[in-house]
Amino acid sequence: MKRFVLLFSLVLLLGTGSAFSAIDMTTLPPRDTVQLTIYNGEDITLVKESRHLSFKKGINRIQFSWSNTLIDPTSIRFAFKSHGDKVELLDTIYPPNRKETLIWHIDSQVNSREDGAVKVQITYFTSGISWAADYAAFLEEDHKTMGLDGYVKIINHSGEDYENAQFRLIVGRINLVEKIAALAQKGVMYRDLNGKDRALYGKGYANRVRRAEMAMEKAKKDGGQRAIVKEGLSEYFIFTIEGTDTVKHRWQKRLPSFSVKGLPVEVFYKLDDTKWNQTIHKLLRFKNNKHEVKKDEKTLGSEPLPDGVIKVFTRSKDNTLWYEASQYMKYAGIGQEIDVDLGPEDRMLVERKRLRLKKINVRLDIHGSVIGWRTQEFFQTKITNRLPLASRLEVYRTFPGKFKIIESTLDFYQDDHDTYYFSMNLKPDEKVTLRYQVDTKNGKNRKNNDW
Amino acid sequence: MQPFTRIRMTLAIALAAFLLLAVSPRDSQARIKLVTLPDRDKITMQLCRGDTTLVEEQRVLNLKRGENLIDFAWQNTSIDGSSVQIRIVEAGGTVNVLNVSYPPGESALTWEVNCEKDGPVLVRISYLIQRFGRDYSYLVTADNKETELTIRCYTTVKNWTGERFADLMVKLGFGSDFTTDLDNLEARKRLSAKFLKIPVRKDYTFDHQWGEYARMFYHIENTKANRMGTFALKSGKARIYIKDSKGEEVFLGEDWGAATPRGETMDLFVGLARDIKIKRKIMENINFNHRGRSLHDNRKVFLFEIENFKDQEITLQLKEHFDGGEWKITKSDMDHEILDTENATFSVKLPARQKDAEEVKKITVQYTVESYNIW
Repeated sequence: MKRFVLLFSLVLLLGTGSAFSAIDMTTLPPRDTVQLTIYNGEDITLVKESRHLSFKKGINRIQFSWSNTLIDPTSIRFAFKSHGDKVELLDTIYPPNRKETLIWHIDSQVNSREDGAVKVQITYFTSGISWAADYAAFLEEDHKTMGLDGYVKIINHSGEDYENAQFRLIVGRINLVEKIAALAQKGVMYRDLNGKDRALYGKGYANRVRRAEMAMEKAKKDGGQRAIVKEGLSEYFIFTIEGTDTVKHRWQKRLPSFSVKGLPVEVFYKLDDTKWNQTIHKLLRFKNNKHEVKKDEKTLGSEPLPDGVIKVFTRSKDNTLWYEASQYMKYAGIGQEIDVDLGPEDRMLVERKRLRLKKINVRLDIHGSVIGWRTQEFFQTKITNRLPLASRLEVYRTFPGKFKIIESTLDFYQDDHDTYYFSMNLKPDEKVTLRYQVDTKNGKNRKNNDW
Repeated sequence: MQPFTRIRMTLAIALAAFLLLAVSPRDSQARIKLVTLPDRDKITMQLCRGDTTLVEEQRVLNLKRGENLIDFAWQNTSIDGSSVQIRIVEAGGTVNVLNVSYPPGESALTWEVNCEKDGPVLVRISYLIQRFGRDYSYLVTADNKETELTIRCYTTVKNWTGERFADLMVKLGFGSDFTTDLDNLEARKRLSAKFLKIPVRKDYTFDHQWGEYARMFYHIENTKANRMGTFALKSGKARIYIKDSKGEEVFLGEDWGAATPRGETMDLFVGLARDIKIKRKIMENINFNHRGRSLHDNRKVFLFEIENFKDQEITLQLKEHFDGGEWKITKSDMDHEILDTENATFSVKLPARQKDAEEVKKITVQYTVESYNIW
């Protein structure tokens, strides 16, 4: 049952449209179906509900109220889904001094006692409903593969209970010029509607939605676990949850979205002064790609991974979990690489020193003041791997000014204009000493491009 | 309508474990007809990285064929609700967790689980819990000659979670796991590991920035060659005792031991060595090689006068600091190592105090450092 009033009354009128004296007949037809399409980038949900209404021939007056909810009044639409052109919406009235109410006038050639009830569809935007993805990753002890479970959570603060509703979740960022919550409180008149908001559920959208629904129909039930059917939709992705669910006002519901096993991963380590000072961090890298799986097992790479919190655990051989980290994971498109920072690793030791500094090419101006010089710096970084596994380490160094790495005991690669990195593989208990020389031109010496 | 089986598990003060089974119609939220009360089979607590604690409970749930509702509530405990998860470990048929619902204003959730067959299902429920503190400490006892140590590693767990844990297995990730009962607000200190006859290196370091006295350090190698090296030593306070000639323990001092992985060395500052007298002087400070308006070089001579009042020979490390510019040690009476552009260490051997001698021999050493291209 609805928690707040979403009143839907039908008043039949006899005579012409100008004679609005009500006849004593009011019905409160229940929803037949309700479908919610929730966007995670903005606070907006498209609600589509269908009902069967009984009409008499002539002008019928329907009142729709939505007190104590967060419905955007400019977005409410009414459409007939049966009886073709025998029913027509004449106008929509927002009565004065009656907030959160509208009245539709319908010209009907249908007499429901003889022709049956008319199926209508009402759509509107509401705010206060959101969804979020989250993930649980189970890294195997050898750090080569992991299991990844994805979930979606629906959070309802709309003021309305949604019972036996079908949920569809949109992954993507839509453009909104006004917030739905603000519109819901503003009471905008119908004439303020523009076509832009309606475009979302225009023809192309509807076709794609239909395809998603068909795919959902095809999805087999697997031990009662409902599938979440995913399909691309313009710049977005739509996740359709099979079957219906009830999410009452202020409740949250979390559903499994996918579960994959044996996902290839790389665990590596990174030293980056600009991010973590002199602390080495452990990183988990995987791709939203298809990977080899056993028959009937699922794989990534068929839909994007929405942004959300990922909790990473290491699973030991006795199936005990060890918590690694909880991180916000950014949206990852199909094929995209994902790095998750698992935090500092104190078993990978680093000792960095500047061994020597030398100033050369010191230039004086005619007054004897120093105007340019070149600095030669000799650095040493000692790394010791005290982890039980062989590990790869990337060492990032950022230098100010006009510099050049003159020589190094390891190969180095450019990351951007002022950052280079070294990459090395370390066996357990292996120590590596990296030495390199960096020259920097200062003052007027910067103008000279020769090294 | 398909009947649901409802099981409720509540974590609350003094209600450590009760798990209730109910049969209720799908649309009823009333938690009624509770018929069974299964206990926790096993509960383990993993003291993970940082201050994070992961709890895993193992329980056997008697589930009915079809859809079952399992309530899990944690009033007055510090569980991170977003971290609660259920894993099916063993079951007679296929068991699927369909969804989780979070009721408003409650520390609770409800799992909807579909079960292929009637019967027991072994599950593990895990969650992150806050306010479960832990710290590590070391009791170090040196023999009378300070050549060998006995090291006891202790772990103290502090339960401020709001929950009482019975038969709790604590997994430290090192040393031996242990099982204990732990009331709310209770702390428990346990011996996690013990190392006997561990060779220790003792030395003295003087740094004029620390004050007028040298500091005495113990260096403990966490290696297999040193009869240790089985796990990384956690950061914690080390209290150091020494045995006197009668075998009685005397407190020497304490220091914070840094986290020390296998293969590395823990350095402990034990106390000041007041039997070593050190005087540091600058004997020369001149600028030379002037060029232009301000460009020049500089030379400094540092001299140390050292007296050892101990009756054994010792090696003293002298730590010296520089400005990070271009410099060079041009002359030195001592062995030295340049650590980086700001630090160098000099090493000097000090003979033992001669018995019956009227005066202690004063050792004088010096070094010269030149700095270049200063302006």
